[in-house]
Amino acid sequence: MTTAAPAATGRLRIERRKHYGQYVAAAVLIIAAGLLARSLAVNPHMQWPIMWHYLWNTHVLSGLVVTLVMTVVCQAVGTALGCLLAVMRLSDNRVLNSAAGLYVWFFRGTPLLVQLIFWYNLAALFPALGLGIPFTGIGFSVATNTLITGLVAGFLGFTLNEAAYMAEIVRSGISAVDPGQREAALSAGMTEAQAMRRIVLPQAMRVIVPPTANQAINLLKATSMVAFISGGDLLTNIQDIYANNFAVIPLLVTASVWYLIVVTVATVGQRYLERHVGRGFTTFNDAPEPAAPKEATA
Amino acid sequence: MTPVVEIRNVSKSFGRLQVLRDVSLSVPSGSVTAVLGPSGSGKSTLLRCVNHLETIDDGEIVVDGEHIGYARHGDVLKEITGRALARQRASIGMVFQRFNLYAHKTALENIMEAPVHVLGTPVAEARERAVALLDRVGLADRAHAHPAQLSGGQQQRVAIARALAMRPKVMLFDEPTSALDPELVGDVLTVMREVAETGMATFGLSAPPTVVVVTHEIGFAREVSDQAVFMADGVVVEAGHPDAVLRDPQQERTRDFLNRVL
Repeated sequence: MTTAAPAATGRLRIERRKHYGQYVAAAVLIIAAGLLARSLAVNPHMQWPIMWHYLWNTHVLSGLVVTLVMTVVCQAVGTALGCLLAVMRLSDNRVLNSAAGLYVWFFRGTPLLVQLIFWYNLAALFPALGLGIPFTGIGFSVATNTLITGLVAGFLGFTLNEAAYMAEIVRSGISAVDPGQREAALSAGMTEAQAMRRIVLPQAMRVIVPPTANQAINLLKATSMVAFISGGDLLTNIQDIYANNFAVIPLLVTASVWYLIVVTVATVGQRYLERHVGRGFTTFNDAPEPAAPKEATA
Repeated sequence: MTPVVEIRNVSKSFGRLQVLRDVSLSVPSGSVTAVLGPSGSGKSTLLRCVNHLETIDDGEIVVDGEHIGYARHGDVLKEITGRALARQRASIGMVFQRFNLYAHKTALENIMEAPVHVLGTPVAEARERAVALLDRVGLADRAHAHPAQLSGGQQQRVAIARALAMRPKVMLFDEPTSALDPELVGDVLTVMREVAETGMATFGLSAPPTVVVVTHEIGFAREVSDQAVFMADGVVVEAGHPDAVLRDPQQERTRDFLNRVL
């Protein structure tokens, strides 16, 4: 071999590595997927027309709305509660610190489904709920069963559970910010609260957003658990329908299609959000310096 | 000259490790004090006590007539928090070894942040001053770059501009050149020299700034400082005119240290 000999053309040509394994894998997967798709497409038990028919059914759509509202509300309130718990967990105040720790321990330590069924059956523990001044008889109360419907139990259960997970996500985000950032803010005359809000949290967001999006997507699908307590969500309403027409599989596909559509939209949103909170953390190569923003009009 | 920073008999421990033992130091108004010493000598901790990033166990630190981080009640100094502490810190500028520029903000935003959100300066005015300061430290063209897009030396010059934007009475520099590549040290020292020598004229301060700098740059300390302090093992070993302390040290430990670093 004359490896060091000059090339005939005066220049050696670089050839990229061929990814033969990739071609083989692609071929195998395409064939497998094709066979599966064909067996589903021609399978009469799939009842495709029923699946399409119910996709835009009003009962299904109203269930979808409940699922979406529940996800957004529980995620939002859970995040707010989680931020509070995270700040408590990181504070020097040992009482607040332990209280937050206990909360997270309890709500992460018991199954979500158990919590939901518990809230739904709260009446068995407290038959009536009321507001009033103890020992005076002043106040009012209502029967627990009229207050705690499946839907309310769902909101309660998911929010409290979500808060425990968000507390840990927010705490890890805050801990990931260089302590020097807080010190710089404090030494410039900011209060602890200002330093947290203006300097630490915006940077913590970069670490907080990806797992939060993950949580939100999990929550979206977890809300289907309220079907156990007749919460009126997408799965509850799908079950209502197949309880009558016995088209279980096509209707479950209908539900899955909707869940997939929502998750896809959420994933796209996540990508934009991550790009937004990642400002200042990209390096020279992939982040062109922004052009001068337009001057504030005086 | 009246002292602006007065450190009296300060002691501090981290757990069982005593890092400051009965340290006293007086910094006259408008002067430059260089604090030198081997690592672990307590010099950085002392500096951080001056704006109460660290608490003290004993003694007192007075800046411009106020106990920093504490309020005096009779013969007791009670630790303060919140707005009262923030107000004290606002007039003490600090430059860190690791720059600590706000990573999510551009150079210009870093400088405008505290004037706008702590002092309540109108945005337009803060911007104008930030642009001027960036120009003074030679970074006018990098105003809209994020810290990650700047070299260490550039970041440190922005950090100095950020501290000066608050028009501080006192500037604290905590080993400002220790994290820099050798070829970038010069630019930062030039800016620091300008702060110390012509702070009023160049950076628009209303009074000459009082500077305390913890540094390993013996040359800089010799040329620029009015007072050199040598610390070791949490005590001030020797303090005085830089010519005396750095050229003709009286203490064995000072001589040893200077022999090793020069």
